[in-house]
Amino acid sequence: MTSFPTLTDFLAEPIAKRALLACLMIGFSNGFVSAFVVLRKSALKIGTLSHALLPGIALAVLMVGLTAWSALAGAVFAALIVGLGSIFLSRTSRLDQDTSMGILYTTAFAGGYLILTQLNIRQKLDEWLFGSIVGMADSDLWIAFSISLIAVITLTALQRSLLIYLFEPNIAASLGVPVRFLNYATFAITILVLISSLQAVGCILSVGLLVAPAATVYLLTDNARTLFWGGGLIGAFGSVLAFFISYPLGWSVSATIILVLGGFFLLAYILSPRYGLFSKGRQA
Amino acid sequence: MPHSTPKEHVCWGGGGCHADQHRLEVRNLKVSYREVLALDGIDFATECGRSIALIGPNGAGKSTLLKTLAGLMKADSGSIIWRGQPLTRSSHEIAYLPQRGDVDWNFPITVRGLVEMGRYPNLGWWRTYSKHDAEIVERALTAMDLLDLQHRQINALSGGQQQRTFIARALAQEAHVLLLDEPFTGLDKPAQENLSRLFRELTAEGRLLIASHHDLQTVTGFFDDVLLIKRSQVVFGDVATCFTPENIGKAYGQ
Repeated sequence: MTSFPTLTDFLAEPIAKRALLACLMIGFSNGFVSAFVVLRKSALKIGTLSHALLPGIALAVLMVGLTAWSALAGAVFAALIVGLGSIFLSRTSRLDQDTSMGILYTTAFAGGYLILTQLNIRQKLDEWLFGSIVGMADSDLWIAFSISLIAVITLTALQRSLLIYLFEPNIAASLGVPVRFLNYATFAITILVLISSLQAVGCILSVGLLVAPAATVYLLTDNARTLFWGGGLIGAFGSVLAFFISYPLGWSVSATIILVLGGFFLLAYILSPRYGLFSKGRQA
Repeated sequence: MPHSTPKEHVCWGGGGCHADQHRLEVRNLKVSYREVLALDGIDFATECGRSIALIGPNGAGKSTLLKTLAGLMKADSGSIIWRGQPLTRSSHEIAYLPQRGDVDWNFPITVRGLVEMGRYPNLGWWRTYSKHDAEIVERALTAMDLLDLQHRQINALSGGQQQRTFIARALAQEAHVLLLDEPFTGLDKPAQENLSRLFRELTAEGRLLIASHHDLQTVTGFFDDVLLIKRSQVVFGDVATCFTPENIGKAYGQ
């Protein structure tokens, strides 16, 4: 990608257009879902899950070869195994679920890493670890688009009940909110969106994309609904901005995306009129 | 013209006139929590228009009883009968108010937003918020004296205001029964007096309040009835006759 002399020349290329589109869509959907992650306070769980997806993808590639669908199926499989496995481990031993998850996901990640290095797709390893938003094919884009659409529509439709559930599960249950259904639905959406962020920024950085956008808005608003659309906008804007910054500097796009989003967060943390570092009457 | 019956689910200004229709019966209730017996032999009957203090030492099962009445926990055996029907799942007529310590006060929501949550049973997840819903929310905010504070984030409130916000949510839900977990905890004296006055107004309107409470000194002033428990029921009845040193000793003694 260094063979294009100027940014304008590069932008004329299909690969650049696809990358830009990917930044926009994946940035938006991940930012949108980050509202749920922040309100649920499950950032660490997401980090665990994102690493757990790697062995599933590796296994799927080993068995049926690398297609978008095999990667997806493998990711879902791995997330379920680690998620349910940690619940099972904690119930049948004296360990708590966090400890169980810590063991399971690192073991799974190590296994997945070894499988990927043994396969003849060595060059792909970096892409799973650090993302490949610039190398996306049309089929990848369609998958990212479908995932974004499903995530945004579902979370918007469920928003009223979801916000009550996120605020206080007991109140939600007493009001007749279908708590169990929400649990499953949001878990499914989290996995789907993780897959798209895995492709874009890789399993190591995906947590950033799924936390930073809404965390930034969290410091600026008292309205939980704003978190979803605001998170989406910041995710999309940050990703596109990172695309334009990274090209002339020759930086990795995925790392730049996370860096830009981290920068946005820092600005909000310092400058937020109500909850910033220097605002008066700030509450801890 | 036939005599109009009051609208089914409205306690507003009921003055306890149809209290007999609003009867809550708990029969021989037994509840386990994670396979440990938490409550056994809870058996009492009451009706709208009363306030009940739920008293007992730590671990006596106060929160468990409130959660079971709210439909959040399943009973092993026994029954809860509300207005003649067995209560098998959550009902909008019964509101649950968690302990203040269980709530994330930093959640990005305003007083009004929290009160609007009470409309959920009417709206479900898709119906749009109507003028009627807005009026009910407005009325709940007014009743709890929160109109001026309605756009505040909930952490920017005093303890008493936070408690009133939760009660307003229950009013917006058009609940007859309010189940409150330690509502007086963490409030200063004036705020406690204020809440106690609100309790009397709510029961005068015909609502039933059941609140866990740990300050034995204030039971007599704040509540009509007392339910003393220590896993099993020690006594139930009006405060004057049942809240005796002897019964308290049974609940708190060895």
